[in-house]
Amino acid sequence: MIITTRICRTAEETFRAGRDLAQEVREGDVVLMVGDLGSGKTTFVQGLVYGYGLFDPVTSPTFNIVHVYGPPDRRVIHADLYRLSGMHELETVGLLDDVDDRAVMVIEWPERLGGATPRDHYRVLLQVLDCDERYLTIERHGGRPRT
Amino acid sequence: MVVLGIETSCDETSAALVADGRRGLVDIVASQADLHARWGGVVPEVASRMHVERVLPVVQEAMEKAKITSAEIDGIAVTNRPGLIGALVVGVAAAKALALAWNRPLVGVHHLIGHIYACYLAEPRLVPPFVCLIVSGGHTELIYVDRTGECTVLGRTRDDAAGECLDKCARMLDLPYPGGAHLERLAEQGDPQRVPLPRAWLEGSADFSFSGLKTAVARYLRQNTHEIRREDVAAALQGAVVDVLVEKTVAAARSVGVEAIGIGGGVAANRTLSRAMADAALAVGIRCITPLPPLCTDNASMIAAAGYDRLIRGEDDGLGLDAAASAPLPRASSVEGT
Repeated sequence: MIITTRICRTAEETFRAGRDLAQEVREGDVVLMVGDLGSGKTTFVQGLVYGYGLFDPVTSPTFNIVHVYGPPDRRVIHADLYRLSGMHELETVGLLDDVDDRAVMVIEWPERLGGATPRDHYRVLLQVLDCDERYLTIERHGGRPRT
Repeated sequence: MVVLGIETSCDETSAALVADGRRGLVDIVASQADLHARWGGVVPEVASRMHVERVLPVVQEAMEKAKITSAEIDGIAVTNRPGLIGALVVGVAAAKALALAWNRPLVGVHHLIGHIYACYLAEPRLVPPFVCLIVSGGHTELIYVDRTGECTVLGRTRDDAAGECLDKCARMLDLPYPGGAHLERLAEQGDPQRVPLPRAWLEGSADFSFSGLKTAVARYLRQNTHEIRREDVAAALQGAVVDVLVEKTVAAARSVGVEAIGIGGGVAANRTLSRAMADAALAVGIRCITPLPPLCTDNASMIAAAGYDRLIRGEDDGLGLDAAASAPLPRASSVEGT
């Protein structure tokens, strides 16, 4: 189900869109970030983490694969699968061990998850338009009952 | 005092012997670059497996080349943080095994502190305070080494590391891995003026930002599909990265009032950067220490040199030594806002 579509004209607007999604996500949620290099995925995640009430600096996790923000009871796990080749590796890195009910899990380059993609998730799609604006789509897949 | 250093935090398996903390005897590096070229980047699991196969052979090769026996090694230093966890644990386990077998003290070394010590190896007369810029695929950190040798961070990247930006743009330009080296070669033939790219100065802060530059390169390639001269893009990109690194490092060095700048990390092996840094520093009366490329990229000599300073004080982390993927150095407090 598509829950948001909007045009982001600047990096600030992409940040704000991430901040807005933070109002909706809760602990245990998974957010998949889809978009090309330079489409604004990390900027969106910076907004999301900020909106979630965490002031940790959010940097690209490409090199380290996983960054963790926030205190143990309110964590955001920020993973980047850009450098991974497949599921087997994902297990070796121990990423899936980190999934817990108390953390929001944000995954860049989730295509690498293949069959391990969690059934319930948000899918954030950032498409770069010719005029250099971003077309943002946020979908909710599966999803537990909302109160 | 002879120290054995071991480094396995990313994709190089390295062992080195260093005498008295400043004199490198031998440094063996088994690089996995060829292996990872196939994937276009470091593949963590492949890296871990290769470290397992290579770590003891490189230690043995180092000892044979230097004609040093285990009886002549006084202590062991190993990179234990930060890095790829699966890669770090291999080096730490090997170091513990040797410490136990030889009954020698063992110390864990922070990888970035290691890069700072590469400057001491390159220039043994270097004394703190100085400022050190560490730039690689995973790091862009401007570090202040105070009079006592204490290291704090003046600035770091807020998004992508400089080397990550270069690597990702190299990939957009269809250059093979490792992108940085190929990009530098291509840039030599290009005209940086022909492609306008932005520079993120972040006025009033010593932090860096490179994701906007990466986005600008992607945009340029998208919007100029017909008349792209890749060498011009490479030259402009490298120019933008070098401009920001040099100007902000020299400004930070001036504001904290040091007389020397050191550089390290894989990107420091880029000659355009090291030349520009040396020129800009010299213009304001600051010395620039650029270790030779093998000391800029990951190596075990710098780890042995850093470990020496702890071992000589009688420190020993023992067999309880742990590896950690993440270990940010503290922010500088007294010099904040520079």
